[in-house]
Amino acid sequence: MASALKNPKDFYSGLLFMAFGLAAAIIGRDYPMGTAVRMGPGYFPTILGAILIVMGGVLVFRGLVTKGEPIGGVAVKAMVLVLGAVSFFAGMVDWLGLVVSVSAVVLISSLANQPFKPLEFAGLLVAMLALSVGLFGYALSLPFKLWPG
Amino acid sequence: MDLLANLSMGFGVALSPINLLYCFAGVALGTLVGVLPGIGPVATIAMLLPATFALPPVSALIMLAGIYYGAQYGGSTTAILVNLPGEASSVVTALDGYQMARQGRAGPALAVAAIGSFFAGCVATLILAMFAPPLAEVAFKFGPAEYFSLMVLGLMAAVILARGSLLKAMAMIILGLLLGIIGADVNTGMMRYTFDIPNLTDGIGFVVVAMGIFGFGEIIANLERGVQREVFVTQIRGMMPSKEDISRSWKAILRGTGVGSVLGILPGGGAVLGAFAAYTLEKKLSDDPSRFGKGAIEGVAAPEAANNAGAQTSFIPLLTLGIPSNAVMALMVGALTIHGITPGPQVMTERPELFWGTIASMWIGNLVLVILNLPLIGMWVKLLSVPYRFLFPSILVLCCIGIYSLQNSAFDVGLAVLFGFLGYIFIKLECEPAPLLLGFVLGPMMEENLRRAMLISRGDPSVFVTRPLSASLLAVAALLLILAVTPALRRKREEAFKEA
Repeated sequence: MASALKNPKDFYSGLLFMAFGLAAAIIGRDYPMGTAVRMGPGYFPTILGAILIVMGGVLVFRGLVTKGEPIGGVAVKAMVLVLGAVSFFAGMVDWLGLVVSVSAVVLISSLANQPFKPLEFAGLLVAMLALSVGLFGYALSLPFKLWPG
Repeated sequence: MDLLANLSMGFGVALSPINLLYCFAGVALGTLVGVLPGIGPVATIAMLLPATFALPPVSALIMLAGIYYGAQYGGSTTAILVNLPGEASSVVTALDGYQMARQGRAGPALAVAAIGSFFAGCVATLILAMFAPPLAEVAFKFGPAEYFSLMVLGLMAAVILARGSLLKAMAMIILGLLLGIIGADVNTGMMRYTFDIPNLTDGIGFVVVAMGIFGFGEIIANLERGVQREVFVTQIRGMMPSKEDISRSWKAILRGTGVGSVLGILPGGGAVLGAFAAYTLEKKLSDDPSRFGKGAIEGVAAPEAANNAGAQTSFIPLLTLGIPSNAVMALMVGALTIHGITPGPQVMTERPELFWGTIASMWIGNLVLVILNLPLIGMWVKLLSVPYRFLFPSILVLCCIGIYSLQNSAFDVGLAVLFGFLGYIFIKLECEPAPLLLGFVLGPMMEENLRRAMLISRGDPSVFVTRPLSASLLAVAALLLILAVTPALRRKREEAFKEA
């Protein structure tokens, strides 16, 4: 099958748009459509969903018949580390506070660097902690929880 | 003489020590972040937004505007020195600017860029001051039908200016509109697409979308590409342009300012279109077009003047009609909303100090830009040589704190992870994300105006073509679409982007 795909970028983006369009239309069925005069909450999103499905369909079709470049490799490691670091922050900030979560972000994201250098990491960590706690915690006095507990 | 009175009031606001300080801080921060490779103005503004939350609205807007042109100029510095344009509008600057840097003439290139930007900024500020009030008058005549049509026009223009496939850009806008209406429906209070998650009641925060897609998505892509660079640190000797440089560039600056100012006002315009057009114009008018792409100083002067002029005049549709014309202005709408201000024609009458203060601060901001950048260029260059492995963890931390501080919501940070993932997929599939952000901001406004227009016309959709203003706006939008799909123009558009 893979060889039959001439333009994978168009094909997959088409699929993606179709999926979003379908989701919008299907979930939108629960919302009253109303009439053209008094549009209900379902009117606008259903129309948009339909347009998106059609556009996605055309892209899928284009992906099958036109020629395009391959998508190329996916940076799985970078993606997992970057998004993982942010997820960690999201999960920990309310619970363990700013200091721990900032440290976690710096640590996890630094792992994306090929040779991991502990000294560089330590320097960066100290700088980021000083900046975030000093600037956001004290100078701008944003209501952050700084420490666990 | 209203203009003078208003301007002097504006300067009174902008020159208050505290606002001057914020203007200065905004320009400095904007340049600082904008210089970093791989971070465009959109990501810069989204990242620095939390720093303005605690300020009163006037100071916040002044600082944000400062961040914007700081980021823009910072992006040009990066484009000239390392050939890594942070965003589309400095792509053209990189063409000749980088060549000049390779010839050891980075100094004059940066100086001309700064002077050109300053001049263009002054002119554009005046244009803004002169044209905004009459335009706001027109805006008061706008009914829902006109607003809807204007948004259609703006979105159409954004489609044409997006790189790559038109169809993908359009689909991105529709997706943006859909994402924008998530949350409680304004008219009925019904929850739409919230999956019973209370955090989604007020919709998705635009900072979440912007940072996720423009911040996280691009960091992943940058890590994948491996940001390589070749900085011309040692080559910066003199900043002073030679006599020949000046005689070559002053006309280019004038023309660039004109082109940029006009194109910046158009919906969907902003800085990008002006920079491209100005560069093309210089190339056409030059007696020796072959010099372009090899370090012609006009090729730096004209687009730099044009993008700064355009950056300034693109505030006109925002401040008078309340409609953002590009992704940066979409961010400004979000920022103003956070401060409880709905952008639109009423701002000028109800909050004159905000309106005129911002305009005056733009001029001051441009001055600060020159004062700050010419002597400090050495510092920016040093910053450029900071390796990416230090940069991106810092950027990540700032983004996390930024998103969190919006509403003290860890949920928002998690949501941004989702958008980061989506953003990376979009990059891989060559779907330009800027139209999505524009659609996202316009979504609720568009639905609201569509509903109102249909209610007033009693369900007759012809209202959009029978009201003359609305009809002409739609006609222009249709014309743009036709032009864009015409084979000849289509090729031209592709060439223009390829050249970049």
